[in-house]
Amino acid sequence: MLAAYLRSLRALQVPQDAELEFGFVHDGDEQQLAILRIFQPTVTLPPEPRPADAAYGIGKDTHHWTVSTFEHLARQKQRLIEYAIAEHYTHIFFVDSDLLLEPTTLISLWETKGDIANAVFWTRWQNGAGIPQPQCWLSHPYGMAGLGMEEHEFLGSLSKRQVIRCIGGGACTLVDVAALQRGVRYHPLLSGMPQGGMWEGEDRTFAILAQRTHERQLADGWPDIFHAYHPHQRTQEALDEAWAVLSAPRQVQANYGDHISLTIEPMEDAGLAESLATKPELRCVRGRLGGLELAPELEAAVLEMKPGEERLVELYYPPWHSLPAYRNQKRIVKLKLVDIRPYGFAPVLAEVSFAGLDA
Amino acid sequence: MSTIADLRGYVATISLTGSVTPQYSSCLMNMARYNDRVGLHKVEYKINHGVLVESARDAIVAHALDPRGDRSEAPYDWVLQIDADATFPENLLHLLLDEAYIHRKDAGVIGTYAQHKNHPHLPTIDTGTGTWEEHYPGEGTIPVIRTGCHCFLAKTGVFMKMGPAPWFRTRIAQNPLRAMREVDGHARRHLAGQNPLRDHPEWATLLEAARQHSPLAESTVGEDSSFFDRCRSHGIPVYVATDIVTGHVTNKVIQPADFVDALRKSRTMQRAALGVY
Repeated sequence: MLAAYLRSLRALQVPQDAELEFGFVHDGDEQQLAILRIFQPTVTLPPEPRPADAAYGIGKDTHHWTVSTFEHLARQKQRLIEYAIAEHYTHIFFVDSDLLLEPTTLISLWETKGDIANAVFWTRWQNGAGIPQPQCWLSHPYGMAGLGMEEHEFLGSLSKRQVIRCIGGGACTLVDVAALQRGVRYHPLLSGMPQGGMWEGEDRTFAILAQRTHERQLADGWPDIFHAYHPHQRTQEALDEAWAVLSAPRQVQANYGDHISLTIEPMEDAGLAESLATKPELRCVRGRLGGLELAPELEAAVLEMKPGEERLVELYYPPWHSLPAYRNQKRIVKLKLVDIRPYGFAPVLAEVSFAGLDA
Repeated sequence: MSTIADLRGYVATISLTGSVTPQYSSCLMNMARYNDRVGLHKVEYKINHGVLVESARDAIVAHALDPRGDRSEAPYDWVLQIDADATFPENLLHLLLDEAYIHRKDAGVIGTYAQHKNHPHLPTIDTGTGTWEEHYPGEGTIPVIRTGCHCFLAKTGVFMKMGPAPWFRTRIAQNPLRAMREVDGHARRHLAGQNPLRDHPEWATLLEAARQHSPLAESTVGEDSSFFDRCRSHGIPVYVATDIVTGHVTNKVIQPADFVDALRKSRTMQRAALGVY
């Protein structure tokens, strides 16, 4: 798993205005350390003794852990945070080691400009049973309704690759270090939390503190991420198959029907720009080209652009525009084509979103 | 030559609680001022407290037909009934009189465009379907078979044509079974306690069909619908002036869903400003 994981990390595309370095916590396994040395990360923090009861078990049907497991895990994540702050990094991208990320994952999270952006992946927590669930939530410890959204709205939006607010997430999370400096942390775990189950996870401490410091936490449904959660998903064959899909070459020009990910920022209307500045998910637009109802100038530009390209576009608002103040006006917006992907569903999600023609 | 200002009438407010809403007070004041400005002086204004809406409506009509209560004064020409939870434009009366006496001289009753209080707030317009229909302001003045009594102007001749009170009564809705029972009772009263129709096999057939086509639960017809049914049976044209919009004040519990809706609307607007519709 580790080799497949590192291959996925190495393939990550880096935002144009960023640099990416890798850091790990060595857990004492010499065989894995040897693999890590080949990877040549910027830093590998030395192992800390793991308490005897801090086990993490991968069973046939699901995973098992103890409070001590989370305590240990939280401490290791906190060590990485302390390192990042000390070394003046601007962001930390936490990625659990049982994930394979498609190469544009980091770019997608970066472009949301959220304080804390969680890349969404879908997991059947019980092997072969239940509907896939995302690893982000709207009510603690793991509720899919909240922030004015019903469960079906939240899951439906994520399945359509939207960016939406959440109150917690984890496992694949881009964090602005400024949020960490405001007091968000993994360790020590918050005291006084309800006991048992998911409340004990280090992600809950992190998410609740993020709420307290008013960080804008986002769930980003754009990336395709493979979660090698069950034993049958961790075989070399399964990992190779997943990676082949995730790393498949992508088109550099959008066609009608493709999924597109854009950001749009107002360049002229100060009031609007100000209001959007606090709502990162508003500037992110995802959908199928031709299905999204875009201003014609935007659609024409998208058809010409390549991923990563930015362009200033002058929008003309027709006389029947829904906002009276904009009718017959022109405004310049900054359009960025973040990513293009062929129409399709995220791993695992496809099993319930599109049963196929044989169904 | 007489004008609508020469007509005498009665603006009657109906309040079942004894109080009126602030919105209503404001509208009534504005309308009275407007009427004075345009010369509509021959108007009596009164707020009526009625415990039962149907008897309150009847009392208003009775007053319009006999303003002093001693038949010493001629009946008013018109009566405008407005519920105490209505809102309306200041020129409401002026517009209704124009419609009733100039544009639609045949009209006996003209109602305004008003939404029903219950979701989905259909306007109280029934042009013949037997239900409240989808209509919108700006459709002009349209003939109807039924509207609500939230705000309507009636010529007093309408009530004279209908005969003595009561004019507004809630009643049990007719259905085939009830109709046959009526016939059965009518026959027994006039044929020495017998209904010879029962001896015919067709009676049994009709009775069985009536049982099948009559709802188990009785339904009632409100005093307003009942009134308009009577208008129709007397050949009195009823219209709704959809260009005259009256509101319906109601208590609304502000809930999180309202906030959610407002926020979504705001987000939709912001995205529209960025060219995403």
